[in-house]
Amino acid sequence: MHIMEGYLPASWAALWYIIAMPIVAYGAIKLIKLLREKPELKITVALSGAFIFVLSALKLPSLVGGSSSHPTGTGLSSALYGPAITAVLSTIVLLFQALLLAHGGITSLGANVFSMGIAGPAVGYVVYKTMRKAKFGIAPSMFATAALADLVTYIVTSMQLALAFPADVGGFLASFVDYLGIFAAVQIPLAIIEGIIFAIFADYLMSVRPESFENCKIRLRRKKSAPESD
Amino acid sequence: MEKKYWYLIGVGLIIMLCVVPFIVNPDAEYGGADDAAGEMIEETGYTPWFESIFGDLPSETESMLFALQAAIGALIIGFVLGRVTKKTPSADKAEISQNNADN
Repeated sequence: MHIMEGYLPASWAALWYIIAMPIVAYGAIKLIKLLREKPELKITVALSGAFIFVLSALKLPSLVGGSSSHPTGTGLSSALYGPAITAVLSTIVLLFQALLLAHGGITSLGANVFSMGIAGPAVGYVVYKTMRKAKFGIAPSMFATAALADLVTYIVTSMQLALAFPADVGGFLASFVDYLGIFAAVQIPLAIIEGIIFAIFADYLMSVRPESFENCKIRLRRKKSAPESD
Repeated sequence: MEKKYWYLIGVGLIIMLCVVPFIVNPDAEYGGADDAAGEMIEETGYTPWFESIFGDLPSETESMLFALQAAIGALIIGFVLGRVTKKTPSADKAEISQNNADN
């Protein structure tokens, strides 16, 4: 999903910065407040960020399309803390990759943060909340959250490129389909891999530290409810 | 025990999904999707307007940095896993006060 340095026209690059940066700023404020009020969450916040670090460094071969791509790793963070805080964690990773790895770029940072840190996690967060409310177990909920956060990230990247580079014939839609072919199709097996990783991990975390899944919101009052289980 | 079985099946599936591509489609290049998109953009006649600040690092250095990124993440995950597996939070606190008492 990394749009490469300089490959997004300046006006589009600026637009995605304008959209993404306020959310990152809001997320940073939220994160600081969260850690100040609930220092016991430091460990799971670190864990969520660490997953983004590891998984976004792994380029995996895909069954579809004969090319390689990488997971996003935003599943746990999306489910627990929502898109704003995930945007902050993703920005850190994307900056590291843009500056040192020539992966993504400073000019395309806004667009990449929007797809990986905001759009994917927002969908993942809604899916997680809905499935948990519908009494799905933690493993299937987390599988769907992580897989969709991953897939939506790549769909949004395709959309961003199609908007910037509409085809001469067929315009935005034709171009969108082309980029989906490069990104989204390749991503399906990787989204499944990512889903499985998070399903296993969340299930394990639920069995040893069920309280990690509650009490993640700064606005909510702390309550000691019975540990959820499958 | 039942739980561990589906963990194993999950890990097996992941390995399968990573290995099967090479069996099904051994001649593919498995180049990066990001680069493929870049090429597609260049085909429209577009030239990038900005270069990476530090330029392209040698591929050896780049793979080292990727490994470093994964290692940092794995280190944190391992640390957290160790902590959450070992004790419940109440036991944590009990031990801390125990330690304080010992000192």
